[in-house]
Amino acid sequence: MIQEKISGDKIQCRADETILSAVMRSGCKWLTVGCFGGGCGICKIRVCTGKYVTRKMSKAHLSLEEEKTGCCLACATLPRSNLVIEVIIRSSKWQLNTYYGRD
Amino acid sequence: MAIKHVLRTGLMQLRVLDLDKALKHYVDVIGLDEVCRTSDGRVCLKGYDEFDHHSFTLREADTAGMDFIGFKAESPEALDVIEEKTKAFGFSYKIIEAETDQPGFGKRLAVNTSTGHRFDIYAEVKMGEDIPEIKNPNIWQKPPHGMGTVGLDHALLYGTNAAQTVQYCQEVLGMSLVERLKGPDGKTDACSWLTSNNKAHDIAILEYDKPGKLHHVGFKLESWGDIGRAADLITINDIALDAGPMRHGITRGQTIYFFDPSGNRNEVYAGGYAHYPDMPVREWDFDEVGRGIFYYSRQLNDRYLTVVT
Repeated sequence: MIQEKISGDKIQCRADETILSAVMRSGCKWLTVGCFGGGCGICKIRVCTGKYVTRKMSKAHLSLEEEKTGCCLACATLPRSNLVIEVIIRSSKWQLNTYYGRD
Repeated sequence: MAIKHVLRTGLMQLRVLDLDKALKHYVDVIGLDEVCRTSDGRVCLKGYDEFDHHSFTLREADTAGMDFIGFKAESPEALDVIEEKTKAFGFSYKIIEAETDQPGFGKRLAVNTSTGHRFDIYAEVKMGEDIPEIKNPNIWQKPPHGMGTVGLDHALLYGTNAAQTVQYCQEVLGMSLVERLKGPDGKTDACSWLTSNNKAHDIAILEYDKPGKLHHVGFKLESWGDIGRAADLITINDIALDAGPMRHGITRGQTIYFFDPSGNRNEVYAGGYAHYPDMPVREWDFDEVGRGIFYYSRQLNDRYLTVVT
């Protein structure tokens, strides 16, 4: 079970499934879907409570300091217990959307 | 002698988070062949229909993205002219000596562009060992594997001050502007497509608020049928799909986009019109960009616009 802190949404995560995959399956829209490979950084989250393991993630989007505070990329993170997470929205997306005249 | 400057996009070095996974992806699935490994653990690859030593180098790193893109100059004399013109244009550069980090490659001019990318210009490359037949040739020697790419095709780069790099491509490298997408203001260009030959594009450059980003690297397939087969392989190998199969309005190429295991976006591309330097530049208004890029759905998605490495 993964709970998102702001919305309170609770979703089920299968064994050996990434957080991103579980969120996509749930239909929840609060997480931005990116490259699926730990490279683009757009699905950055922070795990507030719970155990998890990560696959390789780009250091361009995740400092050691951030990793220590539970930050990770949802596409490269697999829960090992119930989790409470919060979504970190990267600003570039909104800047580019502003550039393209979107909301 | 007429100096045509550069001939084509001929080399890229890409950063990947896991080299073994990347090799499985680029060799087994996309269909490139391994040429050699360097002493520092990088792997050089090429497509079966390419003559040069290699065209694509993978480097394991802790970030994804592109180290540099390379353009082959027509001759050593053309490379000298490009060096002089680069100096005059004002982009900084350094010389990388022959046979150093890229086996088989001659001297390279490594140019730092305004978009925050590195363009490596070179004139001389050893011919590969496993190349297409030259005398009474068959279409291939070994059946193509995976998606069966014939080789490296193009890239879309995102970066700062795109207009200056587009100008560099035209004035120094001798490329032609093929298509342009106007920004929302209707004046400045949001994206430019350029070629140095008959292909519809060798490179595209989009104005972005961060320097040095790779949107995608494109590999050439022969046909729309091959794009369908690539789509089959994407599902069979559980590869993250981005968009397609579809056609572009811009360049008219047939295409499918997906991600490598490190999150670098790939495209396999077929068709596209033949460009001639006397053609007018095709221009797209900003509110037509959906049809320009995704010709069938006519609507871009956020991920296509914003996800880069």
